[in-house]
Amino acid sequence: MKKLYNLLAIIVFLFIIFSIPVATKLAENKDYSFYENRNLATVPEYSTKEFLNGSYLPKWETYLSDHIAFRDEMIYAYTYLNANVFKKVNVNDIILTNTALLPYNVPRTIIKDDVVASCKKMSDKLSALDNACKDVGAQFIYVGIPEQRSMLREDYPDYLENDSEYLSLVEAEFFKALDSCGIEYVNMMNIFKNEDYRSYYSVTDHHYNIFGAFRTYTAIMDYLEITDKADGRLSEEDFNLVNLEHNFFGSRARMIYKAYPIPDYLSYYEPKVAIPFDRYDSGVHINRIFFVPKDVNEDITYNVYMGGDNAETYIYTNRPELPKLLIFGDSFTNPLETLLYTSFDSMLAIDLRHNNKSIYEYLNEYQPDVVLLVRDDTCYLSFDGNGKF
Amino acid sequence: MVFSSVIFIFVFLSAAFLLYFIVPKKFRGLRNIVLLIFSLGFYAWGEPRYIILMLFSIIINYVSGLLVDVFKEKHKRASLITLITCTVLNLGLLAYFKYFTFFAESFVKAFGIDITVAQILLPIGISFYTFQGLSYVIDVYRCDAPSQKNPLNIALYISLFPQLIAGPIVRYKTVAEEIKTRNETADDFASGARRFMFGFAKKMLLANTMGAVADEIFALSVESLPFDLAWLGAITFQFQIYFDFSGYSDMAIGLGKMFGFHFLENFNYPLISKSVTEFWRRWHMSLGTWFRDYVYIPLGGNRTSKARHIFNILVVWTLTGFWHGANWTFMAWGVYFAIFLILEKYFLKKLLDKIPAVFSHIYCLFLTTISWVIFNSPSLSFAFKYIGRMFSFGQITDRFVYLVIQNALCLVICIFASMPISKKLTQLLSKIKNENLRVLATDYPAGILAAILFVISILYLINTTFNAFIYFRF
Repeated sequence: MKKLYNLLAIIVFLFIIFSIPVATKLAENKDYSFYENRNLATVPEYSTKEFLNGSYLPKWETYLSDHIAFRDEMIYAYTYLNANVFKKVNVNDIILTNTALLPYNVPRTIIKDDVVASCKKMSDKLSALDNACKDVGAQFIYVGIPEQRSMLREDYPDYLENDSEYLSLVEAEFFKALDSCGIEYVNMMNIFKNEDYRSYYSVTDHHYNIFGAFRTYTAIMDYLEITDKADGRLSEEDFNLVNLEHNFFGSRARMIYKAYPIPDYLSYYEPKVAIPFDRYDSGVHINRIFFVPKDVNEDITYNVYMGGDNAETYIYTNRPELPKLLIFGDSFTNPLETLLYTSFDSMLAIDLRHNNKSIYEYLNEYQPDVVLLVRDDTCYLSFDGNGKF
Repeated sequence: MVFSSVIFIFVFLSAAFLLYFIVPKKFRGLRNIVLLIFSLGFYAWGEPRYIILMLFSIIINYVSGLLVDVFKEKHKRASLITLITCTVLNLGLLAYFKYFTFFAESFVKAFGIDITVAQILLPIGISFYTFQGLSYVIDVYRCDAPSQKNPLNIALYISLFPQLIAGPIVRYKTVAEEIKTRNETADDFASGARRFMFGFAKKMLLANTMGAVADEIFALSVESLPFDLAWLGAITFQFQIYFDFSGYSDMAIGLGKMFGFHFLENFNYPLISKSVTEFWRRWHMSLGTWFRDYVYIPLGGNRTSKARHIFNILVVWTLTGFWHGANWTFMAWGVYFAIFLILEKYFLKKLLDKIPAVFSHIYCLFLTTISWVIFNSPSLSFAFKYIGRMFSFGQITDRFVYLVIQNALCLVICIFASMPISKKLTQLLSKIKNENLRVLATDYPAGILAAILFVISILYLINTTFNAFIYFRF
């Protein structure tokens, strides 16, 4: 019995430590981790200097960790164990609640003077942009959207930081600063909080869903009516609502490898009467607005809307009686663009995160009538990405 | 290289086993060379330059061992001079690489001199292999072990990768015979593998989880640290350092066994101790016995006057503290234990023996918990403030509630894993007379548990980036 035990113990141990390297050698090499949304490490390039200072060899550790066989399966198993067996509240920096997946917020020290100073700095930048828009005859409107964790902040367990104090302070000071600069804005928090805001948000993703986007579309069009730029607006009755059967794989669900059972789906609105258009993504003609896989068993992401983030997208509906729209911002713009293009002669959508051209160059070239900057409330004071203009 | 890394588990270890066991047992020398090459590669992985330093240390100790052996019969004085020279060289290297920057900075600061002190990088494991090298030469000098004629065997003893960078500190006489003639058996390999897997799980599942909590709390502003978090930080650090270090020792002992070596135990459930004296008989035993045999007893031990005995304890514990790192906090930590060891020796021992066990456990846990605050603090002033915050009682904070809920299972497991429950259970079950039944009741469940924990630990290893061994800096 002891001999059999020894034999089994040795076989099991050696199987574990030998099977993984063999499988890794045989496995197909991947460059990108979908779940982590990042490129995997590349084979380290040899350098004598790095070898001698000890930084070369450890790079192989990173490389092997990234490319080890069954990596995704192992991380899924880790996440599943922690979420469902060990019942951890926070797994991979995602807070697991019964109502939504929310990000873990590290408690922060709030210094009001710093917030006020940042608001002033950002409003000065926006004021310059506002002036540039006026110079080309465009109306500039800042559209503020509460991010999912901001809108659902009450869903955090009481003992966890929900960042409410900081977000509320930033919201108050930021729009106060915009007021003082005379910048026009639509703050969707003021609208959402008085409505059934839960229905506007995804439970597994940091964005609003199509209903939140549609509510934002109507709020923008309401605002543009004041300046008679909303002639092309459509009402809800003018759209068909398409509910997708595919399982939606939200950004937060992705971080926990779908290991926590909280179903989520996507929908979109398409005009009942088709509006002919021509779409060009960085010069490439693409005549689609929605990107839905045919197989309903395939998971979908937020990329359903407009195909995801693009550096620049032109959509021409060829109705010169309607105004020209320029919209820029993060991925919150994507579902909004699927609605807005229906109401304008043309729409230019820009994502500065993927674009080296300045917004001022676009303004001069495109000569829009309306300029929308769409940002979520966790980015109001961010000078990176679409805050770098 | 660290044990808790993908490259070690899946590349280094598998390659080492393959190439080692492919060599027939009768070619002992060749097996040793394979092990030596892997050991040097293991060390060179993170710091290729410092391998020269280790080779230098090996040469010093090899030559010194030979000279001491040659001189000890007829030229006692020459033998002693060789030993002293070897000790000075070994400790000189340690002093330069580990303490020079610290003392130079302290000097510059104390006298307000405006110069920048050069930062000397600490070679990994230097404290461990220096002590091992010294142990060899001293053992030869004392005739406790024969000198080694084959330099490769000394190189293997000093660089043997299972215990190279974080101990246990293996005494030469413990493995002198096994380097030359050892017998790798299936029984040893199986039990070594089990020990390694349990050690790996201690490190990955317990130490790292507790470490994340402790790190977070120790990084908070100590000025406003709530008392509950201060206690949680101290307790989780105590668990972290225990499971980290004892897990590493388990892995080292297990690996040694797989290659046919039998290292001495390094930990014996220290957190169940009822006095500081007992704690140090159970904690980092290889370091304790090293200092006892090579410093404390040569100083006269306890067979001297009371004043001299107190002096001896203070010297040994100041050095012990300082061995752990170049900072006043480590020295204070050593002196802290010296004070309680002296108090226990002369005053408290009788009292601790009389009071109910639960109170002596609390007494010891309290003192060791406080000691780890000193140990883990970046400065003495931080340590004093931190300890002060532990007694500034107030309301339970949300952060405390979150950290406890998030880590509840791990905390409970840490508490139970600190107690010799499995040891007692094994002792009980080993009384079963029928051998097959005994194996079925002891080895199989332990083996299955070890394999499950090993697989879970690998999942954690793949997922986590927080896996630096604490004892690396020593």
